[in-house]
Amino acid sequence: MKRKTIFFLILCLPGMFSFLYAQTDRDKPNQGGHAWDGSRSVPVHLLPLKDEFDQTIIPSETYPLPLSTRYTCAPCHAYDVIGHGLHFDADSSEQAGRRGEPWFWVENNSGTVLPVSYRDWEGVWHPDDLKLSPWEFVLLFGRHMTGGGVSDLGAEMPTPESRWEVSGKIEINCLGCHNASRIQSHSEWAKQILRENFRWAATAASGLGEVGGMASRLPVTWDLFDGPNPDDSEWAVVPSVSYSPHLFDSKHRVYFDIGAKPENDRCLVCHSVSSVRLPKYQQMEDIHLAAGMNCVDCHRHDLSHAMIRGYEGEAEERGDVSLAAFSCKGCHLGADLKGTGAEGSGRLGAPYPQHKGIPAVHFERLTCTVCHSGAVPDKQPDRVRTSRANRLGIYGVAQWSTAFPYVVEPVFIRDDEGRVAPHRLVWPSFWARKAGAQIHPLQQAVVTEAAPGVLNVAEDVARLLIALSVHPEIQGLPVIALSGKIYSPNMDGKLDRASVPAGETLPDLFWGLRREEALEPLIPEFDPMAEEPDMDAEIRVQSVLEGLSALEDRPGRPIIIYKGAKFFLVEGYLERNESSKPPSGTPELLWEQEEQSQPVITDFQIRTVVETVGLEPTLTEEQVKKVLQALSGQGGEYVYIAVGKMFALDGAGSLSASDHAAAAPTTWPLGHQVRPAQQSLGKKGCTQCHSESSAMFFAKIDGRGPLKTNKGIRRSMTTFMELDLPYQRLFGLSFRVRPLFKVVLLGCVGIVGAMLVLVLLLALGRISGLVEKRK
Amino acid sequence: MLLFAFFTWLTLATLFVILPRHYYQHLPMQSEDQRDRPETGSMSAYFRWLLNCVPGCFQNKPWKRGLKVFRDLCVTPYSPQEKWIHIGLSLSFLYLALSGFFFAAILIRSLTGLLLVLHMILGGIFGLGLALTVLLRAKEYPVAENWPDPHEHRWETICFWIFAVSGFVLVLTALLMMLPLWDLIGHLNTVMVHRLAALSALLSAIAFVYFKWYRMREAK
Repeated sequence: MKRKTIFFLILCLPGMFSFLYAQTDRDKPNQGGHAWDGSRSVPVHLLPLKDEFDQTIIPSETYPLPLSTRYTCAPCHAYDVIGHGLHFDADSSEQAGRRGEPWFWVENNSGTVLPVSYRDWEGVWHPDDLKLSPWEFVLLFGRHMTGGGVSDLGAEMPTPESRWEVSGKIEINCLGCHNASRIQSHSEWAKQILRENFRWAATAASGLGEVGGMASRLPVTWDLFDGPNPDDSEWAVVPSVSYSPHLFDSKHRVYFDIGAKPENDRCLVCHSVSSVRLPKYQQMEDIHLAAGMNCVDCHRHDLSHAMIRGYEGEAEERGDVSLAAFSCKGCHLGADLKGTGAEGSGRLGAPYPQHKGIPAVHFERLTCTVCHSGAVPDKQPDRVRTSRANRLGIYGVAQWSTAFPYVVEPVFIRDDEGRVAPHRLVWPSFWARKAGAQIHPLQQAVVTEAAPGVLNVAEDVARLLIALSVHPEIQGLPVIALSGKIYSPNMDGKLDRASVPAGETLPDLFWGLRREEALEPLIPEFDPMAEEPDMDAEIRVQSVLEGLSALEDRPGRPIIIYKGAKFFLVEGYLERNESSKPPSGTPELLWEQEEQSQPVITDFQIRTVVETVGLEPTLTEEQVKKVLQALSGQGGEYVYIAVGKMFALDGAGSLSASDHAAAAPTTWPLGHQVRPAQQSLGKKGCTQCHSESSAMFFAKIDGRGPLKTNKGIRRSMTTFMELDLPYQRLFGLSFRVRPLFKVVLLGCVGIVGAMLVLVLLLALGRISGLVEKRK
Repeated sequence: MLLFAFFTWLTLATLFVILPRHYYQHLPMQSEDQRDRPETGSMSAYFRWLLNCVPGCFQNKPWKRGLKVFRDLCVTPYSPQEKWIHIGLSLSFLYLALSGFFFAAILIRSLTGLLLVLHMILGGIFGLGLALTVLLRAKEYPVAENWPDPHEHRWETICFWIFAVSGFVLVLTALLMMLPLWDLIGHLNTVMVHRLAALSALLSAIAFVYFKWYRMREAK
């Protein structure tokens, strides 16, 4: 019996191994599609479009569905394999790789600039820590996402606020990178994402058809099978696509102008970096691109789309030695190429650098990018904008780009291997609850609700002015002049700032009406106590009061006090009586409730508007103090992190700033823009870096952010490099006397050398007998 | 660099065996222990003697004895101007050797930081001291007179000129490293030449001091 069991088990073994092998194989991504046959030509992409149900799209059908890349591209390209690529695997990859640029959650009113990433990078917050669901993440950052990853699979993990059924998923947008047609529009993509038209975005952006409607306005119960709503063609219009019929042939196929290698412009949609201080025509171009190379010449990948990032150490991290050939050293020096199959340096004509006169210690302690990449160091790092952080490259009526985050480069910081490398830097800003030493960021809604009327001051003032502007009797744009500046409402429901015209003087608080270019008082001057009432003036007073009454959340009834008279509305009629307040020469707009009155615009609002509107800071210390007071009323310790400091209320209720690890800057190494060799650091000599005041060592990095304060941090570059500042100054100073030092050494060499030659000649003379002969 | 460190230790150890052996060979017969010295005895007797000497080196305030030797060799016999030249040369070389070999032969890495700045500054003083010493003292160590006939301070002369050549290479390589002449490989090779010259200078300086001290001792 026992022998039979053993025999049976032996028979089963091959089967078990086969089963296990099959299981292992199943875990591997399905390579699928067509294997490359060796041809370097790009095949013509004349394809039938497929929708998300794998059905061929016929443009003339009623309510055709949008393109699905999963099925349209699938016959040849394995979608699931591509889905593991660098651009799609942030939430699923176990390898974070070298730190890269995170996403920045920017909210101006609350002064929030939070670095967010699904990747496990130092100095960034994971969306889960911020209670940011995949849905919210995609709404915030989908404008510059490639589709796939969390925007595709996030739909499988719905959260209460998510609307994936309405919006659809965002599949990998293959055309976003590979479409060589000039009609590919990133602006259209961003617009569709904003409208929550996720499944339609790729179709609209590629120009295959025109997409109308807004999924964001549809009820959460709507799904694709409900189709269009014939009863609503104005507001909650169901998204739909109207394909351009001329793009389709008789077999419903479409020609895609596909570049197997994406063009630089496609990469730059999301990876642009430009200096704020330079106009477009003066911006530096990466020397590789200027030489005619493409991004993908170095940043290559196979079907897996596991793109080569090109940093040193990537080969070891990813366990693929061949990647070493694509770093700066691999291409230009031919270093670390053993086992890569690469012949040596010089790939794509990369010149071999001589680095004449540069001591070897520089190559041990610095990355190549220190001297060759990014902005040239200055007394303060250069402020730059990046596509993803500052929402660049989206064009239309609305202004998409943002001033924050305040990104600067280059900041020289030691990397994980202890070498100095140039980085980009952002100081995070956010509200948080402090529990011991731990900091837990607060959701912006929590902050706004805790302190109503504190953070949205400009919008509140704008609402007042807009309420007046929509009154039919008020012809012109109501404005308010404060401290020599005129504030007017704009299309976005915010305020614009302009200077008072030269030669005109206005009181510190002036309600005005702008008609064309002229500025007149909102309430014209008149004598309210006159026997003959000024009808025009009283109509304007009534209009203003009616406009203010239209505000939904007004704290009382509006009144106007002018020259000792109080005007108010009673059942739609203008009433007037004597004011108990001392007569004022300018009309005062007030809210009155139970005999108590308060200005329509408070002193706090005036101070806040003057200090923030039209200026870069969006938050004042007074606002921070008010919000912290409101939050502390809920129990617990609350702080605001900004400009490299942690702000909290001290025992006396004042705002104090202190250091905290959570206020440390977010940094990530930069690889581009690579400058020409002639513009590399050190080309102008050692003193370009080694002097007692060089920007490389002694530039100052100030804490910058939405908060207007003078309590921000200021750090020297040496602190980032973990170097001793006095020593670096001394070392830099030593280069002043170095020319003299060289002359002294040359003199010494000359004397000793001459003596040695003399001795040598004497010795030769002795050996040859010439010296004795002379004697 | 590891190879250089190994070579440094090996050559220094060899020198510290050879020089005492020279001393041992020329010791007058004083005690039972020294009867079996090399010409009459075994190597083991020499090493036994050497081991016995080691504790003696650290007794009776060795720094005071070292200072006295330094004074006798480099200061007392010379004019005030030359005294300062010798002091400058000796002290700068002492620091250069200590700092350089501490990094190259013990830490096995390049010299950096404040020590490097001092190394460079004192390198200049060393260069000046070397030039003046060679200029003023060369006549004491003629290579053309009676050469290669042995004379009373033959080894001193050899060491003096080895030191001069090594010092010349040291200063020259230091100068070349500050000029934009070499690429990375050239620079690394120059550094290695600098290190080898430093080792040669150190060994010749030790030997020179020993032979000069020995000759003075013999003269007494």
